[in-house]
Amino acid sequence: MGTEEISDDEIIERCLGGDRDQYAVLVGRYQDMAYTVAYRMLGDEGRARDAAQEAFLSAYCGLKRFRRRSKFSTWLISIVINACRDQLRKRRGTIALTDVQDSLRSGAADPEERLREKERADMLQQALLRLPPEYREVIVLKHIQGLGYHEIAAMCGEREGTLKVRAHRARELLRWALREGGWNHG
Amino acid sequence: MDDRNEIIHRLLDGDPDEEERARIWKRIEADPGLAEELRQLNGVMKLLARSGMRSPGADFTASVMSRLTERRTMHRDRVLSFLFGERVLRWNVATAALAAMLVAVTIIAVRPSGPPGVRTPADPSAFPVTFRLYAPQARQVELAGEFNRWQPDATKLQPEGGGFWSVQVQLSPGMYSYMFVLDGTVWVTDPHAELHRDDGFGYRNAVLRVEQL
Repeated sequence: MGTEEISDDEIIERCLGGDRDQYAVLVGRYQDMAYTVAYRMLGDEGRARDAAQEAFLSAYCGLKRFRRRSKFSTWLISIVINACRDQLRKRRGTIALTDVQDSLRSGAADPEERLREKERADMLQQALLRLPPEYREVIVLKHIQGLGYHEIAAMCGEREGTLKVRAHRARELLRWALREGGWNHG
Repeated sequence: MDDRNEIIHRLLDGDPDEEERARIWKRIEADPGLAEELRQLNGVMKLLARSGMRSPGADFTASVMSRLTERRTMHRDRVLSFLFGERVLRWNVATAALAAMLVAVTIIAVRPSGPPGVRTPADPSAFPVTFRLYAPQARQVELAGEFNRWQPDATKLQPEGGGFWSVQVQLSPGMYSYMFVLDGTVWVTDPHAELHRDDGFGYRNAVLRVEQL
């Protein structure tokens, strides 16, 4: 059986049984997701990589406490978010709005269109970083990761209603920030 | 947030049922300002959805696995240092008396009793040790520890009645970390263990010391 066919639960069982190398399969499977969430939250490649790595290490250490009430990926995202909160607490008030080196994978073949896409991605990241962290969390989890409000509520320990209000305000702030940045919302 | 914004965001969150959605669309069609706000917010949503996944680099997995090894090595070294590191012990009569009491309790705890347990190592110095837990709500209780490579399903406790569960395991002299597992999911530290040890990952294992009589 190839590693692609093995379920997350099976891999976790193997890890708990002492086969630590199996964890590399889970890391490979979810590294992009973990790193993307961390990058959108922190806006810095090095810090995002650190936060994602910390999250994977913490997840491994907590495998035996993973209750399987959610998917491994959802549980991992909650750990990534916590790692990001730690990072944000450490550097409160010093969030850089520049230094965003977005290397978004672009499907556009036209160099001009690629450039435009990169500009849009930079603008989006800068707008995201201007949101309060708790608003940014909802936007990243809901609109980038595509999670439901009930999943985010379980993850963050907040009520769905509270999260919806944050999402509404965050979308308005993003619209305002993007418009200020010169984007025409097209 | 005013009512105009509220209905747009309800629409974006997919909250309204079909009837309400039809009413909202009618209102949007009649209000060019509202239609423009919706267009802009839809643009924001599209931009977020298209922002795509990013890669942390080809060496990410190797780096995590390497840090995992480092961390475990550090943890192991700390445990070895704790167990075998040289240290100067200062004592007085009270400390000596306490140590003597601990030794006595340990000997009582590992006193041979009953038939052989679930694990019977070839080592003739192994003792039968009974693990017991009060867990009246549990449907299943298992034991995981260093002696069974932390595999709970290898050692199941049997109900004794009155909410007590127990199992007997053959153990050679040594120190063993262990935990109970309730209903296959909840890991519980033995509240009556003589010793506890931080496992380095934020949890506390119970520790049993088995000594030669």
